[in-house]
Amino acid sequence: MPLLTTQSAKSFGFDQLILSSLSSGYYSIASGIVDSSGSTSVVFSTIPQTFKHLQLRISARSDYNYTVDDAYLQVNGDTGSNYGTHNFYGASPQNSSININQFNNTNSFNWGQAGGIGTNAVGQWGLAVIDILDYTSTSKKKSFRSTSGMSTNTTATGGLGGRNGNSTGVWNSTAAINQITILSASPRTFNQYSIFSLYGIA
Amino acid sequence: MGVTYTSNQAKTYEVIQTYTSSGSTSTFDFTTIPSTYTDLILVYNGTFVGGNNGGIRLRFNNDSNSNYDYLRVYGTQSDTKGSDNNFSNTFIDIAYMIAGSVETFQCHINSYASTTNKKTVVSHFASPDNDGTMQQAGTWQGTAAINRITLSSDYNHVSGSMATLYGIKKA
Repeated sequence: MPLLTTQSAKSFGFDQLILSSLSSGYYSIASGIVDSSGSTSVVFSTIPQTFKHLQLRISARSDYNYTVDDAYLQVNGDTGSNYGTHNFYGASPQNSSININQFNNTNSFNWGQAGGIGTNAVGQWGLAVIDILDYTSTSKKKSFRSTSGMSTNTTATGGLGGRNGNSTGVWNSTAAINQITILSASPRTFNQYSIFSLYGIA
Repeated sequence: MGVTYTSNQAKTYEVIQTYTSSGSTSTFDFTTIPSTYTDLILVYNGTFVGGNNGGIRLRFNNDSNSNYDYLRVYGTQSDTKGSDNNFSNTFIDIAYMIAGSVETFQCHINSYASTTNKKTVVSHFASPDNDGTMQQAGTWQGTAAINRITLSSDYNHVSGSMATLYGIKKA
């Protein structure tokens, strides 16, 4: 089984990846761990086109002074108004109902609003799993699905409870995805030890 | 500003342990979990022998103190929907069970081997027979690496009910 190199950089490409035919299964591709200086983004570039689907698994926290924080996703470096997001989430105890939101024609997929990014204020880590289906298709607009959450009993701005929910997103392009950028909510940064891992499903 | 990137294309998502009920057990206890993975996924599919309104309780490292918090969103066949939370509980209530109905859940536990972070859990529960579904975010306030996961319930699981623990290793 092939593989590659390890490097410290702002982003990682797969130019040196030696691809072979893959048997069915779930594969690690790459991961990024935020260092002590923090980071506003994590970039996976030159993503191999040999898998059927991708999955991102995230354990992250930001320097926000609030209960939870937003976070975003862009693909192929597209910063245009080409993304849409729908989500629902619970945010007890401020609201015992379910919050529902929709964002159209935005410049990123907002997967973090439904939970998934912890903060310094509560000292806990959010968890998110994001699926990107049929990412190599050149005939379909690309769909994202995120499940995420973080629960806390620590008092912080925003109150107790954290958030917990699901998001779906679309990128209104039929291009194959070869780069994924995960962004913190400006001007915040992801904390040290935040882990972003990319997997492929063959 | 920095991120340390690593790549390693390797097959992962391995079974760590599976329990299959013979019909006389109410607890699935995953002990001596290796710390060699990045994330854990716990999957349950089964049915209770008897009793209604039972639950499945999730605990880590045999900690029965008030170190668990959780926040849930849910919907049921009666069009009841909403969210609630429970702080400083002695377990995470991962599923509700009704006798004879099929229940299933999947539970993500990321960065479980960290010795500095409190542990976050996100789970999905569905009961097709009861037409109910729930998503939950939970926290175990412990910072020790998770080496034991215990699922205990009020009633025995019918024969063939199964819980499997998987490990996923990052690049």
